[in-house]
Amino acid sequence: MQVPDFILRQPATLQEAITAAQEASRPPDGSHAPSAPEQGYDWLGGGTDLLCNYKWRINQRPVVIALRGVAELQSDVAGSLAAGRTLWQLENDAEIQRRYPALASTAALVASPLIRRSATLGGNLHLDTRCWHFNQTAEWRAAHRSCLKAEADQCRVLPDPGDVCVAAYCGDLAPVLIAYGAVARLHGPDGERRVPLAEYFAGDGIRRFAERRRAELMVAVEMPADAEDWRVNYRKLRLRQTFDFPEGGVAVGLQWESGNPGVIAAARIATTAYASVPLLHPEVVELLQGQLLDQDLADRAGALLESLVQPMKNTSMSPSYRRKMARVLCRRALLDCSPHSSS
Amino acid sequence: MSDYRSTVGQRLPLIDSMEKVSGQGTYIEDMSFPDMLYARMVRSSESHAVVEQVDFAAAAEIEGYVAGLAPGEAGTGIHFGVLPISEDETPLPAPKALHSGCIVAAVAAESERAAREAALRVEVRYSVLDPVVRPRDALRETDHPLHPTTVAGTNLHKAVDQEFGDVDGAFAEAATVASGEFRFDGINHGFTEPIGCIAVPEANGRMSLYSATQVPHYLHRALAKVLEMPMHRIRVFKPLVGGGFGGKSDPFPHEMVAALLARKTGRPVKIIFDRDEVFLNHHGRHPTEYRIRVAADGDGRLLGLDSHSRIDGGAWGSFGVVTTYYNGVLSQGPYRIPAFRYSGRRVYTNKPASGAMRGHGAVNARFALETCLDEVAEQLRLDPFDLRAQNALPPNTTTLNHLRITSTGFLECLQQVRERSGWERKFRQLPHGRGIGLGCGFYISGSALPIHRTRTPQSTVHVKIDVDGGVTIHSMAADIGQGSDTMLAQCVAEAMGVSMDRCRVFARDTDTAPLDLGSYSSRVTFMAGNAALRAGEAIRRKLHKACARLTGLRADDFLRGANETYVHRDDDSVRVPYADALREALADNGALIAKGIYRAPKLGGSFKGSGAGLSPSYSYQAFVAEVEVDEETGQVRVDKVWAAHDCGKALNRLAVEGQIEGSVHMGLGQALSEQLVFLNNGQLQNGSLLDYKIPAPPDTPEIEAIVVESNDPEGPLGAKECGEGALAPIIPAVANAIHDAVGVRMHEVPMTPERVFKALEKKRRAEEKLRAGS
Repeated sequence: MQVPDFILRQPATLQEAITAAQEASRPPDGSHAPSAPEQGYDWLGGGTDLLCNYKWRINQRPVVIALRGVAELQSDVAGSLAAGRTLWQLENDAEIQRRYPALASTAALVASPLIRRSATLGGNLHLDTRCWHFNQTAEWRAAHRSCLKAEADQCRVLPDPGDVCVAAYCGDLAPVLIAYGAVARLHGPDGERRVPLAEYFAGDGIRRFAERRRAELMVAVEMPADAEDWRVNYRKLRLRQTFDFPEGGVAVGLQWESGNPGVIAAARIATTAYASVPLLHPEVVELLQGQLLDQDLADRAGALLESLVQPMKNTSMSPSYRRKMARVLCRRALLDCSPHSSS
Repeated sequence: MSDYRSTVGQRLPLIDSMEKVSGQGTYIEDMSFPDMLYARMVRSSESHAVVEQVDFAAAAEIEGYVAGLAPGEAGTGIHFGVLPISEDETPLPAPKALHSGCIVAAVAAESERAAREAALRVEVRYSVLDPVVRPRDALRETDHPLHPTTVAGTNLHKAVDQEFGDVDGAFAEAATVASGEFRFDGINHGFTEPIGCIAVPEANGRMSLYSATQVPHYLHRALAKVLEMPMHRIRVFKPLVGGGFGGKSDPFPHEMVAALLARKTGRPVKIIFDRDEVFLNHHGRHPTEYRIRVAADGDGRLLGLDSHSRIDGGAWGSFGVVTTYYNGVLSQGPYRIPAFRYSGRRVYTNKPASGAMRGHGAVNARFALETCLDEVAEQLRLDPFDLRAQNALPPNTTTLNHLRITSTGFLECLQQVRERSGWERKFRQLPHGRGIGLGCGFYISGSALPIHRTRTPQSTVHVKIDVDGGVTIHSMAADIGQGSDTMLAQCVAEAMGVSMDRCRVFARDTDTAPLDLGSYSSRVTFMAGNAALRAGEAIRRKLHKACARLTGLRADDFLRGANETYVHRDDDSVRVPYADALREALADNGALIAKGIYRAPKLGGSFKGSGAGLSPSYSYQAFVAEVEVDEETGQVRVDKVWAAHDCGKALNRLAVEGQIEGSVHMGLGQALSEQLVFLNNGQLQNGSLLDYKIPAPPDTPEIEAIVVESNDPEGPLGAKECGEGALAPIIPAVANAIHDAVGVRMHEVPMTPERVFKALEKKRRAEEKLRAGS
């Protein structure tokens, strides 16, 4: 297996990175007409996902901009986590373990220890969507003649998909950060802007970000000031205890009524691997708000979530099982939040 | 008296372990030759199609492109295969591509990169045929059978029907019958080192093939056939091999393609597969449907066994005829079964070929039998251990199908795991959700019949000693990581009474090594080990003659002594150091050479198929697994495994325990997570190590490997196999533990969370229905 040729850019500063992206997305004739974002380049964090896709000749770009050397992405500033932090750092940082324990424990559930040494926070949040008909070798895809997200103009998952891709978003960290109420800090040619992570992901398996702009990249994830007041838990469905992407993942965040632990003042529920983007579930939030968290409430919330998620037949476990497990994951994640739970 | 201290039973690190862990060892990927080309395979996009045309024009535009090889070129249509009775593979389609991803053409280029680019640009025109994917469809008549040799216009490859004793009578008089229909997905070996080879056309017109293979000899024969060259003009060289498990035990099309491209270009040609290509090459465990009935009397004595197996062979024959037999005949142990009926059907389908894999032919059938035995015990309210113990084959007996039983440590295996696992206080007594289960096994210690009809010994070992005092061992037994080189060194050193570090093993080159049939059927320790012992003994006799000349005493009265001496039987003050004996032996004579051979005794009956399952000895196993089942998700966690294996004698305890642990780990993969998934057209869906789920370290339980020694009368120093038999029992042990934990019987393997969850849902529904009705 070989990585195909590409031009590697290794900027040292944020500005250099943005300039490299602007150059790469400029049409070859030198004009300044805007082109689709990301058409000409990929950002490279740890490379643990992107380069595997490249080896399979999946959507490779002519230019790869490696972010490891960009100083601004490597160190946290107050209240935020730098996008270049490795998952291993998130997992083992004593302050993250204390302030955002679910973030540290979730980082430890991603892939394998070896991969977590390279993989980054920014890379994990921007993980490409996955599908059994997409994450295959070039020869396999050619034989199968399918996949909107790759070379073909048809989809083998949905009989009549139009141009909608249903590849699944399989990042573990996004739902957890959404449950904490985290905000993405983006930097581009027009300067910096902030977008709540809950609003950052949108679209389908191909068009995955709400307002991603040309040559823009995520610099950091801001944790809100009240993040430590939230009880957050994440449950992941997978076959093996390591390596595997989630086949379903449920993150819950709860805030107790003041002076009344166990009674839910506010809730956030986010799932991963059930759709092309991490999903929020306001129906479940509505059910939970103002209620005392007990077994019955957790059961009902799980049942409601099961009725809401609609996984597709494009990962190794069946959609029916993954949906049923949403109930179990949700209930367990909720009960783990209860004031009497050890976790 | 001899004060010789034997190495037998010690914990000996493998002699090539430092070479491997330090990165100095040479695998095929590490090798290169001047002017070497790199080849890439062009693979079929169709599951079943006639290859009409291959066009290299666009590929030839890639800088560095050198040559292409297409169907129709010399040699590409010559049939070969590991078994002479099903030589149905060809280097390239002749003219049909038989599964999606099979090799249809190849390109050679100056660099790997150029070869990859060129291969993607080769255009192939197909005339597409309907693929046959499901085994039951393969039994129907068709206008386009995969091979002209199939039975009666269907895709049936091999039918086996055997019956011994009064089977119908046994079931008529049975107090209890347990039965089931079982389904097993295909699984792949998952060895570490991808397949690869380098073909080197030599200046003198010979052809050398360097290949990661378990069977240099069968590869040698197949190359001679395809290249239409006499065997002495061909040399096969086996470098270090990074695991095989049966997945490197056939001669393969890519090896032929490398040689044909080397001949065409006059340059060395290297092929290294990507992982997805390893899955496409496959030759792993057959997808299997297995139907079984077991009859017992009221005391739990087994009366009869009736089973039927339908196995999915994929595109080619490979070892499949043997698999078809083994699915039945290896169920004749470790229990005495007075009536036995078996029918087996192997079919061809348009999928990657199935073949041999660790525990070949015995694993799936074993699962069905051991699950049914658990049910019989349950129905009769017997302890599963007691049931098995009372039916155990005694030593020195013969089974209905004429398997000769000599040594057996089966009862001790049972006793050991029963005690160590705390069975008495756990079985049927653990809290709901936790369970403990037993599974047993029985396996050949080498196939007694060679694949080709011949009187040539199955193993020959040469030993040479010279003035440096080193011991050079030549053999063609293939070390594939299991440690056979270490075993050869130990046997020779033990026979000679010298230190193992004098030994250097050259088991890699057909030009210099005497014939050995290779690493399959768990044969190497028994057969090559015996040959090595005999070679070592033969050279020691020469040294004893030298001792006699030096002392004036009788050669026959010398024994092995401590610290590399030869000591007189009656007077241990008479000692001749090895070095002195060697110097005397070399005088006026030069280097000493000796050889040892092994040929299996003549065994078996005279009925059709009587050769299948014959072995000079058999291994026995009893395993216990303790599991926890999450009833809400169906996830099974195996907490602990106690694995007792009768290996005759542990020559090297470290290696035996390693084989047991490795077998348990591999068996757990089949038990819980590994499965090949195919699309409706036969295209393999999950040919990657991310999607094909081999258990990782956190999924692997503590394994207590228990070595049981029955001291086989014919095994080298009492040893029998330990590489394959130890795989099968863990799978039913887990299934029986799941039943103990949550009361469901699993009939589908792997027992994925989803399947366990479904079985639990079914049980819950049945219980609800029962409650509603009562």
